Amino acid sequence: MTNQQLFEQHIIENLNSAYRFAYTYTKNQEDAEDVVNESVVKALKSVHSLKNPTRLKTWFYRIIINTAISYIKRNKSIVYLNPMDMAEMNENSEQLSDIGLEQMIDMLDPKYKSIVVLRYFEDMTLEDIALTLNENVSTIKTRLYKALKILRIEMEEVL
Amino acid sequence: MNDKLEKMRKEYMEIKPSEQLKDSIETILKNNKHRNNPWRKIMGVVAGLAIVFIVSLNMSSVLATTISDVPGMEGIVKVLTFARYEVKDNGYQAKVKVPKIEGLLDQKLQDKLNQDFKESANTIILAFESDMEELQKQFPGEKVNLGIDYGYIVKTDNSNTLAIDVYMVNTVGSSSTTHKFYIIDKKSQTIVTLPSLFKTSADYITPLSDYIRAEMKRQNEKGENTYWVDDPTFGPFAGIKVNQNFYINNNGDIVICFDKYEVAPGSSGSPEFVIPEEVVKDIYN
Repeated sequence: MTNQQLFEQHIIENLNSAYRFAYTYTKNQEDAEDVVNESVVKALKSVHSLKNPTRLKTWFYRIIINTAISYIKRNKSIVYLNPMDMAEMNENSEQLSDIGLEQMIDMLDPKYKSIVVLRYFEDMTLEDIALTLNENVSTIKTRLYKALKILRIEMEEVL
Repeated sequence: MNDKLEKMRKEYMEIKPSEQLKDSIETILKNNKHRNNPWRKIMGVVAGLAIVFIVSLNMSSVLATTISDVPGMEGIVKVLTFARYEVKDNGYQAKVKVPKIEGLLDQKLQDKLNQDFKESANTIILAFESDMEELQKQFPGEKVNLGIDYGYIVKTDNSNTLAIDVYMVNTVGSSSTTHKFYIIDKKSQTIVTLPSLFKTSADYITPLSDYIRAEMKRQNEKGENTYWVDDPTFGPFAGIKVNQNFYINNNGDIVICFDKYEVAPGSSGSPEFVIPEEVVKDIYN
């Protein structure tokens, strides 16, 4: 199978997970779909030069992240925080036990957010996350720890 | 896994795309099979280098003639293209057509409208140029899809009404279209607003909204369209606004207009609903 065929198979099987991941950046459906479309186009352009086809998954997630970030920069869309969300975030830590996905997405910087999403929702290993984000594993661990601290989630419960 | 994370994970898994995503990806994969044609690469480069830049005020001498200067033509209301602005450079595209009304006996009204047109166009051109400059700094030499298309369509031009649709298509990412309508009653030489069509203190919002909602449901059921009438994500149709976009068509009927994405997904464009006479005959002014 050529790289291109491998990628075609991958995207068809993992379309929803690519979309969900893009959504954590764009926070709305249309933009997330545009980002996925653009990422697929970009991937098809350079898939032949992918040296290690087993790394297809992490490679494609990387493309989605880059595409999402430059898409957001280009569109400069202003996201107005619902006053209720803001009030919730400003209240003391007891209230944060009700934190949901949307608040998490708004609270975390992209470099922390993607680690939490890839680790706990897409079930990636720390090694694969390191490859996706082009960092070393210890950096990923440090950031994961920081992210969970921001979310007020105790490390012992999850590791 | 921790409860909080488990809850977030569940919410995450609920995030689903529309049906269109699968279709668009399949299209991309299909089209990709035709790639790898060396000529396509060369064409792409040539197209990217084309820069077309036209700015002209008071265009050609033909258009510059004020129609109302011609004897017998006073009071003939017409719309002309006052100016054009175009940019085509490496994915950056702008097409701006500015309208100008002539022939209104009410000179003050005419001046105000024309001033309005010029100012909106200027604002858009400035915003576009500033975005373009910003993007060229961030992505020097790269092709960036930034596009605007601003122009006007004369919807109705008969002895009673002049209706102009000034539209703006923003083609960054998923393109969006907004409209602003100008309706002039030629007989009274006034601008027609939606509330002014109806008797004072008459509720026009309810009957119009009800009619449109029913019409949306009918079209959805027939498979003709996909309006957001009771959509889980976009909610129910909230009815028309006090100053909802509209125009009067050639038959004298009210046509209620929505911007792209206002009441339906992008595939429905900018929907319009012709309101039958029975719906408004009791409250019509």
